[in-house]
Formats: sequence, structure tokens, C-alpha cells
Amino acid sequence: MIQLENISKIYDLQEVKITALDNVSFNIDRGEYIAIMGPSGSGKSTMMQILGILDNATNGVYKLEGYDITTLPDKEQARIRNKHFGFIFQSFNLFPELSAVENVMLPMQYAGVPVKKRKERAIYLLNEVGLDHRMNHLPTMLSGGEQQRVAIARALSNEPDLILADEPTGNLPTEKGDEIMDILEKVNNNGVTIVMVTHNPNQGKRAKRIINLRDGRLESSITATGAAYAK
Amino acid sequence: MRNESGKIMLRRFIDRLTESGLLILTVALGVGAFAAGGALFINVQQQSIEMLNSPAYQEIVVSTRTDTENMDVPVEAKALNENAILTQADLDAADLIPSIEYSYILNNSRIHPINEDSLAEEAEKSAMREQFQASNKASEDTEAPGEPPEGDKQGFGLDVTDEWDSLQASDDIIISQEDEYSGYEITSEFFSATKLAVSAGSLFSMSDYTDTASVIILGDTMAQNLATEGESTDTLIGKRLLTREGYQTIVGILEPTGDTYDALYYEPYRDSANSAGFTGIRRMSMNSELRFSVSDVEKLDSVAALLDDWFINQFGEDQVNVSNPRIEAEQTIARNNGISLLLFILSLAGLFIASVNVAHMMLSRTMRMKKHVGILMALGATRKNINRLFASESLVVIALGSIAGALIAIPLNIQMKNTLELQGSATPLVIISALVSALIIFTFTQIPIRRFDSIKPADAMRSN
Repeated sequence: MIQLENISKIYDLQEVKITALDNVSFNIDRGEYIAIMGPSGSGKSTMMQILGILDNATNGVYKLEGYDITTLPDKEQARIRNKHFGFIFQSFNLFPELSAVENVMLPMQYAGVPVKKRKERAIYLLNEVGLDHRMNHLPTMLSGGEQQRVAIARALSNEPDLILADEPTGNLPTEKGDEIMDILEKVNNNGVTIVMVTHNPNQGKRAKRIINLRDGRLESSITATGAAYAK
Repeated sequence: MRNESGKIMLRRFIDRLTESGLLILTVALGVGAFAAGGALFINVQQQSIEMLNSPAYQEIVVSTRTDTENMDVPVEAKALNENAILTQADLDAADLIPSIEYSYILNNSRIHPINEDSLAEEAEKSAMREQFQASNKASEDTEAPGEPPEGDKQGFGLDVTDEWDSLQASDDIIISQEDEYSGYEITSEFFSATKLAVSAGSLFSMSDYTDTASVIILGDTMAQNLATEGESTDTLIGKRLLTREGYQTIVGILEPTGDTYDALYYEPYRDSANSAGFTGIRRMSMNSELRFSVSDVEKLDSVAALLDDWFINQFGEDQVNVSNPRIEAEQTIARNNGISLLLFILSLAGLFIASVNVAHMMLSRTMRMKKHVGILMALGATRKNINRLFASESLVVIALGSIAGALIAIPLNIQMKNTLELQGSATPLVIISALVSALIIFTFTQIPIRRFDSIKPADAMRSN
């Protein structure tokens, strides 16, 4: 599904150049559940941003279904983010002006889904994450766990192929974090590829593969059982 | 609002009501100032051109020294104070000066329609007169007679009391509910000089200027006022307007000019007696005003000097006033141009200050939206979507501000117009100027939005 070849990311801060990623290469297959792990500053979040085309790599090739997408125009990149990717952020990133259901409806607006249909699907997804009773609440009226569940529903709104979750449980207490992990597992079981950044080794172990980064380099890519990933 | 991104902007707009209100107020002040100042400037330019092209400012006016417009001076007193009486014969001065294209007499005139109100008023005065006479008769041996009540001295003119019912029923007679109409007594070259033409009927024939029959030509507005509702003004031709001064037969209706000519009527000038039947001393007291139209405005001064010489020869020094209205018009235009230009520059400065302020406030708003922009892009919004979103917010602010600005500008413009004594409605110009200023402010508001033209979603999301 995704091939990353010699991806590097260098932040040019005028006098100082910081190498966030250094010649990282790996593949992601459809239906995988991958945890990207590593200490702070290892390049996990930068890797997530490049995977989600939220940022461009300085060097290297990013292929999606065999096509190099790094050079696509803004409109096409936006279309891919909208239709093929779903994002879950550590700080939820819900719009405080919109209710839970409206937050879920938002990505479908950019996909051109009619209002009625997007509302129906948003209600369905909120039901799926157990928030049917909180649909018209603003994010400020929801707990952290509930907000993250709204964010998951939003990420699933356009039936994406890939969910990119950047420390989705980072701001949640352990039991709420586990609930979110359960939902993600369920989503993965339905065939959606998941790439998750986490610090938490226990949550990392729930993934089918763990990619370890250190100082911007790929340290290891291992399966849940600890065996080296073959591809 | 059917789309979620629009709801975000709308709810942010409402949540920050004070800031949004200040934005709208700033736009309103900028638009209001520019719309009023800009409209005034254009209005002054237009009217200056119209004024200088107007036939009235391409002619020399000759009148007697007495103030002809002073209605407080009794008729007899005026006549006794005047040595020079201007008549049609004095238009011969034009024959000696080749630069004069047309010459004519233009005298103010008034007619007073007879209607139920005027008849009732006259009946009341008549009763008072009878009562006064009876009372005088009773006391004539003991006291000197007093002054009769008002209205006693001047007769009513045409008496139609006995035939009133048949007049009302007649299709040929026009009974107007107005108290009075103003117009001009004119000589034959008036219509050529003023370039007025008829839309129905005809201009006066040469015999109309010598016959005693009362004939009138109506300006377009006056004709519409007299025409039966829903009927063409053409139907007035040949009908007679019932007035205290007699029956006025309508022979023509002028094409609309958009000028003061439209509201007036025109009757032929006759030296010996006017159509109202006034003769002798009345005619002498009317201070006929002679006008000499000059084709080349550059020669107005020399023509004025030649006419001055001619009239001094005729009547002696200080008897006749020869004036050039164009000089006064040019002075007025120069003054109005100066004032309107100053106001325009000030209003432009106001618009610029408002535009910069609005752009600055919009920049602050968009910077606070930077993280929102990053999230929207992550969810699939293109840069075009983002630009449209901010542009729609700007449009709402500018539209509301422009409406408020136009509402401020219209009375402001009217006030300035009245101060400069300008004619006509400038409201369309105010609206056009408001639209232009709104466009200028909108252009300024697009500057902060351009900051998102090359931003990456990841960079935008990093801000708080």
C-alpha cells in the first residue's frame, strides 16, 4: 500500500539544521496495525506528518499504491487526505465551535457528501463509538475520552484506507486509553490500516508490528512476537 | 448555513461580537466617508459640466436696476421708481452684435387655477365684503370709513360661479386642485435658445405672440400633474385650463429635460398687455428681462460690454443692469470644486485608514485561526477552500459595514449637497462609491489570507 524509500526530513532553522528523519525506508501493507515507537525527538511525529502528507520530506520517495504522491498538487494531496486518510491527534483537535455530530460531518463536506447523508453517517459513527447521547454537545462539554472517540468517528467518516493516530491516548487516563485502543483494534479488524505513534509499550504491543525510530533513523521493525519483520 | 466550515466562521463571528462589531463599524466609517466624499466629488464635476453647458449660462441678462424678484414692493411703487422700461423693441440690440445667436424676453408669470377650494374662499371673502359695506353704510355719518378686509382690493378675475356645474362636467375644461402655477412669458426665440422642443402639440405660432387669445405650453412635469391618472399627457392638447386669469388653451407639451423647465408653463409675451389682461402700469412694472444668447462663450464678456454701451445710449447711465451669469457660475464651480476635492481627499484618507485597520484586524483573526486552518487541511480542505472561507467572512463583514456606511453616507451627502447648493439626487452615486470602497477594503482583507498560500498543514497545526 505505502512504500517509503530513503525518506529524510531536515528542518532548516537558518543557522542550525536539524535532521528529524534520516534515510528511513519501510513499507506498509493494507490491513496492517503498526505502532511507531521511540524516545522523544526520534522523529515519530515527523514520520506521521509525512505519512499523512501534512508535510513534505526533504529527500526520498513516498509511494501510495505505487504512485509518487509527494509531487502532487495541493488539490490532489487534499483529496487523498480527505478520502483515503483519517487522522487522530493527541490533543483531539476538534473544532470547539461545532457540536460532536458537526465535527464528524466536517470531512464529508469536503468529500461533497450531501448534508442529509453526512448527518446520517455521523450519527451512525457516533453510535459506533458509544456517543449517541452526546451528539449535540460541544467538545468543551465532553470528557477527554469522549472527545477522542468523536475524533475517531471523524477519522472514519469518509471510510479511509489508513488511520494515522499520533499518540491517541497521550492525554487520557489509562482506563480511557484502553477504551480508545479497543476501538482502534475493532477498526483494524474491519480492514482499515492503522499506523499509531505511541510512547506506551503496552499499547505498542497491541499492534501487529512495531517500528522503532531513534535519532531519526529506523532502528528496528519487528512483529508483535518480537520477530524481525520480513519485508 | 449548510456547511460545517461556514458554521465555524459564523460561530466565531458571533462569539467575538465586540471584535466583529468593531470590524463592521470600521468598514462602515471607511465606506461612509468615501461614499459621501466620492459621490459629492463626482456630483460636483457632473453638475459643473452641466451648468457650463446649460444655455442659461451662455447668455447675457439685461434687466432694470430695481429688484424684480422683490414681491414686497408694491406694484405702483415699482413703476414710479423706474425710468427704464424694457420692451420687445430693445431686443433689436442683438441685430448690431453678430456674436448674439438668439435674443428673447423671459418674464416670471403665475396663474391661479379655479377649483372648489378657491370658489369657497372667494365666496367667504365676498360675504365679508358685503358685511363690511353694510356696516360702513350704517356708520357713514359718524365715522370715517376704515380699511376693507383683505381681498377686497383685488378682484377675483374670471367669475364662473353660475356655470360651475357645467364646467365641471365638460371634457374640454381642466380643473386643477393646485393653488398656483409658475411659468414664464416668453418671446419667440426662447425655445431655440433653450433648445426646448415639444413632445406633443406645437410651439407658439407668430400670431400667438400678437393675438389676445390665452395659449400655454406645459413643461413635462406640469403636464403630468394636470393629466388624468393613467392617461397620456397628449390628451391635454386643445383643452382649456380654468384659471382666475382666464381660460388657458394648451397648445403644446415640452419634452422632459430633467431641469426646472419641466415644472413650468410658458405663455407668449405681449408688450401691450399680457394674457391675464393686465395693461398699462402693470406691464410697465413687470421689469421685462431681456436675454441675449451667445454661441461662443469666450465672447460673453465682449458682448456684455457692447450691450452695456447700447443700453446706456438708450436709457442713460445706471438705468439698466447688464450681467453675465456665467461669471458667477464659474466662481461657484471653482469654490465647489475646491471644497469637494478637499473632502474627497479626506474621505480617501479615511478609507485608506479604515482599510489598513480592517486588514490588520483580519490578520489578527486569521492568525488565531492558523491551527484551525491546519486541521481543516488535514481533514481535506484545499487552499482554495481555506481562501474561500476567509473571503466569505470578509465579504460578510464588508457587506454589513457597507450597508451601514451607505446609510451614513446618504444623509451626509445630502447635507454636503445642500451646503454647496447642488441639484438632483446623488443616491445612485453614493451607492456606486460605496461599492467601490467596499471593493478596495475587500482587496486589503485578502492580504492576510495570502499567508496561507504556501503553508503546510503540519506548520499550521503547530501554532496555538
